Amino acid sequence: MLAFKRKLNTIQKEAIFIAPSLTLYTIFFVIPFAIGIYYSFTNWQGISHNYEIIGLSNYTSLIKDQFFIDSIKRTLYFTLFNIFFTNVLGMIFALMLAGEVRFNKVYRLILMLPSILSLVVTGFLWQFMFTKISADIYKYTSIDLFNTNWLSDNKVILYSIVIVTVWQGLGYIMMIFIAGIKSVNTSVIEAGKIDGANGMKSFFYLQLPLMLPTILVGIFLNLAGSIKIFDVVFSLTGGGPGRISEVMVLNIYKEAFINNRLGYANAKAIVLTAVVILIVSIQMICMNKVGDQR
Amino acid sequence: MRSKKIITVIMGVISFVWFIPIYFMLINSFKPFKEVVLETAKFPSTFYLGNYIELFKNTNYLQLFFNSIIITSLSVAGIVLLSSMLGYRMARYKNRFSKYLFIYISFAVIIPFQAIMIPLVKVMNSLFLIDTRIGIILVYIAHGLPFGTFLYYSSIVKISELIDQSAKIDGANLIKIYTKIIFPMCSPITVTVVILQFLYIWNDFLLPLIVLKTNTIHTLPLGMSAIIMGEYSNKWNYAMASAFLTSIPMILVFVFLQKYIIKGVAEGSLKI
Repeated sequence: MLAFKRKLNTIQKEAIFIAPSLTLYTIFFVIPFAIGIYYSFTNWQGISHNYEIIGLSNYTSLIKDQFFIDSIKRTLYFTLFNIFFTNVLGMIFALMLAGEVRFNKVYRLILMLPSILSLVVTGFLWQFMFTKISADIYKYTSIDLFNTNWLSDNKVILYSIVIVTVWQGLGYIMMIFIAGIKSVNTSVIEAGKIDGANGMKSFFYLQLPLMLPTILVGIFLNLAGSIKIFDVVFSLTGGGPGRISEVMVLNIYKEAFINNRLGYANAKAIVLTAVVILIVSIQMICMNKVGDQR
Repeated sequence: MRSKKIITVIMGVISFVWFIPIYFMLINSFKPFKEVVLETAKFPSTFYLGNYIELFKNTNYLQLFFNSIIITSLSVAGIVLLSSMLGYRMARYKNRFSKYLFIYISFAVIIPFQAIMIPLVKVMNSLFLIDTRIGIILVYIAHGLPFGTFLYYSSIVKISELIDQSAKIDGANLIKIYTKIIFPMCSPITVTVVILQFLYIWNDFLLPLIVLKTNTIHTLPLGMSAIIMGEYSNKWNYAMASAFLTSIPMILVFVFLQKYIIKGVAEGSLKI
């Protein structure tokens, strides 16, 4: 009896530690996800509580949904450009500012500043830059670049969004890279120097491979954020004009909360989830490979 | 030596370019509407405070600020408390249970928020938590937990279990061991978790957008976007003033705590 009581007591104490977290996590994460999968097979419309299970027909109709397909293509295209510019520029800036350069603390601070701003604010700010400021600069300098229709030209709008996200996200990635550069063992670089690896050679054959884990973190962090881009586009263009800047999450958001086709929107969200799971799996494989090499 | 000087100059130019949008936000928030329209890029002749006075008079900026403070701080506190407790116990279990918990919690890392946002509204609705501050706080805690748990787990695993055992012999119970010994030992991790979650929750837009309907409980980014897109749409002077007002708290936090923020960002990412 006493032993039983003691065991009950330890179970109670363990429960104090793990039950609250698991309860919250289950209610607000796991259950909604499970319900979401179920809804993706129904024609649930939100307001009316009656719905029917319609099998896979949400999924078959979203293959034919040109707006959704376009939004996926657009998002992937944007992601590619965003990752390339954010990481390459982030690495170049990090290499320049990691050493003991004059004012480097101030420069880091300025470059980092946009990443702590809210993305919605950033969107409004750049809407102002692209429309008013750009036109005003053109008025004074007549440089053709500033005569661009940044937010209404079909061919330009995606690059405008990339400009904003690079401006916003670069500082964060740069700080991660600087931490990575500093964690590289300097004795390896010194040893390389003795063996005749200088400048570019030292960078490409020693420093870069040693930093590979950090670079992967930067790329995948950026990748996950880019696929799910929403806030900036919401405030910068709202997906418009027309639907030419509608990204994947914005398409899902509108389908769910404006058109109220919740079942269908959930099927789209599941597609997004599949894309994200694919990325995470690739990430884990890459990280493990890099981990093995070290 | 010369190359260092060249770098200083190059990065000086780049930092200058980077600062331009913030500069234009600032100067245009201190101009009346007419001046913004006619001479957008010009430095204001006099610092006009009318935009800010108007915003404080006609919008609920202080209320929004208060809401953001309450929601962010309680959520972050909840995440720190619950994830350190869970991480502690998970680090100490020697059986399979710990592994199952790990897998269960990992879902949150893989599954994007967008996959659950639509049913989440329904779940919150049936629990009468939709459109309430406590509701959104609970959701933030639930979603921030896994990340925090992983960080705490990985650092507590390195703390020897002998410390637990000797405290136990001295008569301390589990709760006391956690509050007096384990949690204080994890304070570097706590700093990282607080910073990353604070940045994320303070600036988050999508969750407030779908669960907070009443404008008296809106957060700063949500309320501010409603103000700009609503009655002040196309009035750039007000838009820039409210953009700056929304950014001030974060800018101040950043300037005073930059050492910790930079450390938190760097460490948090390297540990994932």
